Amino acid sequence: MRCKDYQKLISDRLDGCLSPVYRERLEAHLKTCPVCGQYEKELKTIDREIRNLPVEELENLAGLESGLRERLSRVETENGIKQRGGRFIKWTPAWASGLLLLMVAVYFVFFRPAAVEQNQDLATLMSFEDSYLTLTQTLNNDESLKEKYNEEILNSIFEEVEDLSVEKEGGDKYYNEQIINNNNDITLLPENMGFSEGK
Amino acid sequence: MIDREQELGLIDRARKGEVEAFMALIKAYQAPIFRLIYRLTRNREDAADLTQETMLKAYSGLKSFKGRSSFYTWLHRIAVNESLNFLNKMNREKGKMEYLDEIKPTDPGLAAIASPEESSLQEEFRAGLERALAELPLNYKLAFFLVVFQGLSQAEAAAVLGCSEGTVSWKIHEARKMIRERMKPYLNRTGEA
Repeated sequence: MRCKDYQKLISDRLDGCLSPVYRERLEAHLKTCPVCGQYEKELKTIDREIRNLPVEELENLAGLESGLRERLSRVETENGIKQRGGRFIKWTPAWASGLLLLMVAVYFVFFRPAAVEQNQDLATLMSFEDSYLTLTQTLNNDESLKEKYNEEILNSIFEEVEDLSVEKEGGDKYYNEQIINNNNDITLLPENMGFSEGK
Repeated sequence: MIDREQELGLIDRARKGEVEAFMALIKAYQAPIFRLIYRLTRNREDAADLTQETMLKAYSGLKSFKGRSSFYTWLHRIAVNESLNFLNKMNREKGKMEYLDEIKPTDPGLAAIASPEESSLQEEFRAGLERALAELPLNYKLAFFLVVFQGLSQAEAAAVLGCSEGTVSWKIHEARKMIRERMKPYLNRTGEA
């Protein structure tokens, strides 16, 4: 070990944290080294004077304490408010969910009929479409039935056309009858049956 | 000073929101914490404010205190952090030298430096010592103050500063060497006397 290493041991010894082994080695060195001896002497003087330096005391300890007490009480009050607020914030999602469920329930209670009617219309339309689809599929699967169906359709069309013809004919007849009647009604006086002027 | 068991009891009560338990807990520690902060800031009002802030932070952070170190050591850690933040802020805002220049001339140590011829040899020595301490680099100053002024062990100082015990030991040794260098004129004079 060199002198500078022993000087570090001197510092550690002043702080009271030198192991017994190193203390013995240091003491042995100090007996033979005047430089390190002087170094130790100077450090001890400085250390003594440092410990004798005037100590700065809190002038207004009572004031500091009362100020601190007041601030701590305020912190406690704020903590209490935060805790209560925290509890509210913690339960807010639950309240919100409950409210939402209630609103949904109210909606279904009061608006259900309208929704059902709409659904019924849709169901009717769907059933009509389903029926037509079923009919088409059935006819496609059975040729004879399809022919009969087509025949029925054609017959119904012909009947419609015939009805229309009859109506037209009847109309003409009526028209003719009217004309005839009109003609019948026209009574032409014979020339000899006319009013004379008193011949 | 209160023993460890009492300390833990007070901490437990303070955690539950008992302000008076906390006040009892810090009663013995306010003065040394103030002294440390004053040594670092060299301003009485700032030191008083920072002491209060330290205690307030300790109260707020009591739930995070695990009890691995003593409450006194933990309190020192908060005080050091508060002081460093304050000094950094001061340095940023005004520059370190400007801040040091603002130290009140009525400060006993520095006032003595201002007029050494009027002071006795002892007073001169102390004034020189105050100046040497004030001029230590912050890292060295912290380690030195925690051990020499606050009475913490090197291990406790290491816990406060978040470094190894060896680092603290080496920094204190270097701080002593710096102080000795600055104090040489005074040491020679006292030697002659």
